[in-house]
Amino acid sequence: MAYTLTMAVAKGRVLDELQELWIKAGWPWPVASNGRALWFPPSLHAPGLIIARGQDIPMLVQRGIAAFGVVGRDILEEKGASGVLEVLDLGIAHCHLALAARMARWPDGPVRVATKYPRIAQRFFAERQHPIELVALSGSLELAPHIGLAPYIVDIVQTGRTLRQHDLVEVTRIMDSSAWLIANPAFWRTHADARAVYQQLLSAVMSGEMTERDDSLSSPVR
Amino acid sequence: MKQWLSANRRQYEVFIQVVEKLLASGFHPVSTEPYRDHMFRRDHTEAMVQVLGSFSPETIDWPLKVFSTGPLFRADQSWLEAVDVEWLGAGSAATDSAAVNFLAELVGGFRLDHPDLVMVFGHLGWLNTLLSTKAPDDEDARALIAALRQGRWSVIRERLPELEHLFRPLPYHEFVEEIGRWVEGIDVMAVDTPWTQRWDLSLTGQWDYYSGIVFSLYHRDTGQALANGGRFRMEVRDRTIEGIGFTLYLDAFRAVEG
Repeated sequence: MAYTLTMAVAKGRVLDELQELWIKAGWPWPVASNGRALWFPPSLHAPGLIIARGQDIPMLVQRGIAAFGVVGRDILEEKGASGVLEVLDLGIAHCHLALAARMARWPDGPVRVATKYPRIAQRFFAERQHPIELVALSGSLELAPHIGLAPYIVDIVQTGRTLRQHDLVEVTRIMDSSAWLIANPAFWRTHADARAVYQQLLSAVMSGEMTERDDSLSSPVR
Repeated sequence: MKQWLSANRRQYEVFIQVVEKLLASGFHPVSTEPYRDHMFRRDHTEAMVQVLGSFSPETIDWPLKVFSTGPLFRADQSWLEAVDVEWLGAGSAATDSAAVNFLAELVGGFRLDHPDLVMVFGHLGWLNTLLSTKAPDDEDARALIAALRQGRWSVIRERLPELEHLFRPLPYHEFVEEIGRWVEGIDVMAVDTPWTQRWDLSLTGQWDYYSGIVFSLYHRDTGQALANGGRFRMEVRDRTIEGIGFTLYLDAFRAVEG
């Protein structure tokens, strides 16, 4: 079958970890290790691939530029209902959003919070009825508590190394995140290709889950 | 520039064509505010119902055939030119068919290849019935519908995998057979349209006022809906107003006409 649809994938860790699933799905990985290309058209052997910033993936899918997208749950939550279908948790690029500060202590009274995730942070504190002032930043959040900008930050945590390097600790975990397959509703509902791409990725995810289960069953008891 | 001017011209031709057809078919134009209560308009239907609901009930001859035009704004700060067509106070399945047939008539006037068009139907009433038999309680059923409305298709695979088939686009006969396995006594409306038809219960419509049949007309190549619509029920000033209607997206029509 010749593929006709394209998948937009968030650059960075999501793209890196998608490679294994992509190959398990039976598609040759088109991205060269040092290549600069950001667009690979669909071919006889694989769907097309667009590499873009995570923040832009829902928009690219919603507008039909790509039929599918792969993007973190954190971004989907931050964007809210964005006219796309969330069809499959790919189980890759695991991380979580956390409230962090110089000391592991819940804020006492109104507080300033710096974040790249204003919507999630606002909702988190509103649910706890805790007054905050949000400072929207686009990067280098770890500096905020040290330079007097905001004593607390809400940021993504993968290993916790960045927080440790900046003498910060987690106060509380806000939400877990992993990479999701999202779909354009029109392509999803009108293209047989869309079902095929989904099924191939689903099989790849399931085979990974089976392997993990088998590994845990066969690992020696310690 | 010529191309740009020509594309704009075509969009207005499409607009005029639609409005002339609506006026000739007995629809009344209703003006709605594009900006109100610090919000840009996101939906014509609710705005029209608010305006018309301000008249005394005894002065209204139901059903009302009305339309509204102008931009709809999206959360990402973009906007779409739209024409919204409604049958208000019309509560029968016959009106549902009439609305879909009228949409087919309107679309038939454009330069579109019918094999590229796909009409997908869903149904909030049947979805409620189905979930009431499967979800543990009403609150859970409502949460599932809210999740579908937010685009969380995966909840069906996670929560009700045995029903997954009904939440994928199926041809009419397969859908009738499949839903008949789970819910008794459902009479699936056979709609005569010139396009490929699919039924898919994951289609819920964007707004929570939808109460019955919902539909989207898609073009296979653009990833955009040309029209969305459905049956709805709204509470306005202690009155319940029912109706059916659809919104045509003029930018999408222009795009698929090439």
